[in-house]
Amino acid sequence: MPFTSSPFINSLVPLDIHVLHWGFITITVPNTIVIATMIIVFILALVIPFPTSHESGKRK
Amino acid sequence: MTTTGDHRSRTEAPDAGNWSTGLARWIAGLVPRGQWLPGRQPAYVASWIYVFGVTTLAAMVVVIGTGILLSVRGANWWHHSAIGHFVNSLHLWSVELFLAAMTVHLWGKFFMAAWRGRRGMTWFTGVLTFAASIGTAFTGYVMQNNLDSQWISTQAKDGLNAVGVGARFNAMNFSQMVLWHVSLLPLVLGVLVVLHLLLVRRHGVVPPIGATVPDGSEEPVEMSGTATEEVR
Repeated sequence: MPFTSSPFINSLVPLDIHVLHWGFITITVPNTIVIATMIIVFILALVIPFPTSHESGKRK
Repeated sequence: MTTTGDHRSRTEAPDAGNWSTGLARWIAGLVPRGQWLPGRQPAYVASWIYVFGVTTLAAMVVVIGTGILLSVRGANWWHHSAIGHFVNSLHLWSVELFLAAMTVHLWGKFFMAAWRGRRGMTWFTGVLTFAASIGTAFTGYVMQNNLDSQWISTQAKDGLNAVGVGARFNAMNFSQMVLWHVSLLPLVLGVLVVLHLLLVRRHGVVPPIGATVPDGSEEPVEMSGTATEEVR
């Protein structure tokens, strides 16, 4: 796909990149994967139980 | 330093008016006693969502360390040496981790409304750090000097012109962008991060929304602006 109006610049861009289009949003597949991974990590951080220390039980 | 036979009242402390003592007291008073590096945190901090701040900080340490190595050895080193190439890659990937962890940290702090309890400046220094990090990353990308970065600098120039900032500096001025990336912006980031961490230690970690003391009394967890638990 032509990225710019300059054929020279366009010739420098690799042609085998995969790009997703959604309205005005144009994003590469690897970038989409990065963002999706961040969202998944965020959700997992909220739901995965955190290991608690057993020391607090001994002090009671 | 005090002098003998001075004119001050004998009821005043010997070091009253001493600038060094005053500064030491001010610094010590910034953070409650024992909270500079606390060994304990409130029970609600036991959640994975709280690791992203320190992950961001750890990644930043690697970014700065590898950045120092790269600046000491110069561009030829990371272009023509295997070790230099490796350190260059470490610098890139630690930046990726830094920005990803900082963004997840931002999401967590936003959705838990971490500005509550007089923590507005903690939030605001975080926002400034986020903005400065983006500027640092962009100037780092531009300083590659390859054709891709030269093209990107023209886009940055157009964008900055569109918001009026372009009158102040030109993103296509590569020598300026190199120095901003290597010295000016890391200094700004360092100051902001120190302020941010100081405020986190000063005010403590914000309790979850609607948190109550787990003793059956349903009493709300204290929302005070300062960490009150003294670490013994």
